[in-house]
Amino acid sequence: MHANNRRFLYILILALGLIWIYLSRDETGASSAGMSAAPQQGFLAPDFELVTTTGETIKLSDLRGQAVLVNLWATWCPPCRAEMPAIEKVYNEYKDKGFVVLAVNMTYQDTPGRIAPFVDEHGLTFPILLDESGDMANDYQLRSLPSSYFITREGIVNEVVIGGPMAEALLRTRVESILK
Amino acid sequence: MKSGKLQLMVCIYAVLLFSCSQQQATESSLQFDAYQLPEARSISIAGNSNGELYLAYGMEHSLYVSRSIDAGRTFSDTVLATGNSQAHILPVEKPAIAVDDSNRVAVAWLELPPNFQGAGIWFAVSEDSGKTFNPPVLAATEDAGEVAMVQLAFDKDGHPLLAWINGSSLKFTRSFDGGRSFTEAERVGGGSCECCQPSIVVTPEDIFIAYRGLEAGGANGDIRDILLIHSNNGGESFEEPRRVSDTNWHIPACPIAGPSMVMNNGALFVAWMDGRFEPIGAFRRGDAWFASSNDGGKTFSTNVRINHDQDSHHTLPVIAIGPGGRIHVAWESLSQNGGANMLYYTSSDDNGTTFAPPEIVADNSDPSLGNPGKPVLFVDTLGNVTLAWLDRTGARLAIWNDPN
Repeated sequence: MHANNRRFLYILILALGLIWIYLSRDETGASSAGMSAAPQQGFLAPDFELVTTTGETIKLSDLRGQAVLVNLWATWCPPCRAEMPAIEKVYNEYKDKGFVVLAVNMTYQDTPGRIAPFVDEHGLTFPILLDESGDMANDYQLRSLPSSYFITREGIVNEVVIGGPMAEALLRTRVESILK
Repeated sequence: MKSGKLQLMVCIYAVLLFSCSQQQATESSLQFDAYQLPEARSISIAGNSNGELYLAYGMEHSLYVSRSIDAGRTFSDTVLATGNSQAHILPVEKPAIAVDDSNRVAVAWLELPPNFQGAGIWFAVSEDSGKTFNPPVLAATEDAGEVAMVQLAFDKDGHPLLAWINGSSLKFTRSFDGGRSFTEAERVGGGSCECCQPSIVVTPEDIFIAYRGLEAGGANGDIRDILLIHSNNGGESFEEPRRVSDTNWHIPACPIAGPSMVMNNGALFVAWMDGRFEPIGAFRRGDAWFASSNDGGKTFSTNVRINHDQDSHHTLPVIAIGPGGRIHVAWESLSQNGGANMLYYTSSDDNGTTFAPPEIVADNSDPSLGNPGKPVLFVDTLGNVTLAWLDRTGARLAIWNDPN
């Protein structure tokens, strides 16, 4: 009986240890079909759900089947502003083929009152999402602005472009690559 | 199963448990008092050799100042410094504040027009240690462009000097009458990074401005190294920019990280971030760097990396000098693989040749607080260290004594 109690105790310790190891695991890899999410080429694009300037809620994973450009920007960032006309033009050329632009404003470090006037001034018609908490920027490891992520219909990051402004011709090439 | 094998498995699991616990964020060895400024959207610290410590912080469309005479243990009531002006407050812009030893404390800020093109550069001074502020003065007006990142310093007579960025131009103005009027703003230095706040150091004879430059880099993208300009005639003219960082860092984007500069016994010390080890066009992480000059900024030392680990993104280092010439540095660190994001602190007792292993001041283990970032640092003559930063709830302060 004494040996059985000791055995039970050891098994209990082992079980508790396994539970602790499970709880201590790194949870950053949200996966789909076995793929890890990371804001890097070849990885599943980290999912996010944000509200737009028009009050709509958009979730990236709901756009599977469409090619997506996720563009991180701020109103005080000159190269961000400079590339918006090209993005708008290319968006209009390809939106009927399943191309979506999600322009995520770094609202947590921007002036909210500047966003709408900027959108109006440039006649932007794609969704402007508001990262008010900075969580999306953190998940996408924002290091500089602008940062752009070209995502395939399967939700895979096809290319990461750090900096700008992106030229129209290069934009088209990248968009056509993710529309395949 | 035999009990011997079972005991062996228990030992193995004990080792695994121990290693798992070591992967969690480590507790800081620093013992500090902590304070909070809820809803502050930006924060700066300045102090003088009288032991006065000032906080400047932005909330909504105003800048506020608060004073401490006990190294940050207690603060005076908050005073509105910007009057009726609609100050442009951004977390990425530290409030411009300057303090001297003659009861003067001043702030500078930007006011943007409705179309957000151009800006008014405003200045306000207190001559009673921050108890009251004189009416704001319009120091300069930019009719167009993207204006940002204003910075402020006093000269030896308490006359303010201002620098800011308009697009890719570094602009400068100064006053000779205590801030009642200002000279016509001029472009100084070469091209400037559009989103990186400059740093000003003023001595009785010299004005030094460290800033992140913007130089054409061809197909590899712009070069955004740290540069220094110097004036020995009160800002009437500046010498050609000198290079502080000893690399050509190509990056076609705004890294949102200006330099931090201090002077001690004639030596200049500069800290900044760059991603020199990253592939061109694929910037994912940077390191915090340090360099010094003993010849008035003519030449700078071989750059020294401040952070020890090279896995995370280390940025926004801020530098201060304490008793005995100890160099104090704090910076923020962002994990590349979903691990903990940290606020680090370190020091050097050999003029920046080496830095001690960094200590953690704060991390993002509490989801309600988010990432600690945008640090500012001040060390007084008694070695009291005040480190402030922003998180999701506002600003926090850590205060400890490091008498060296």
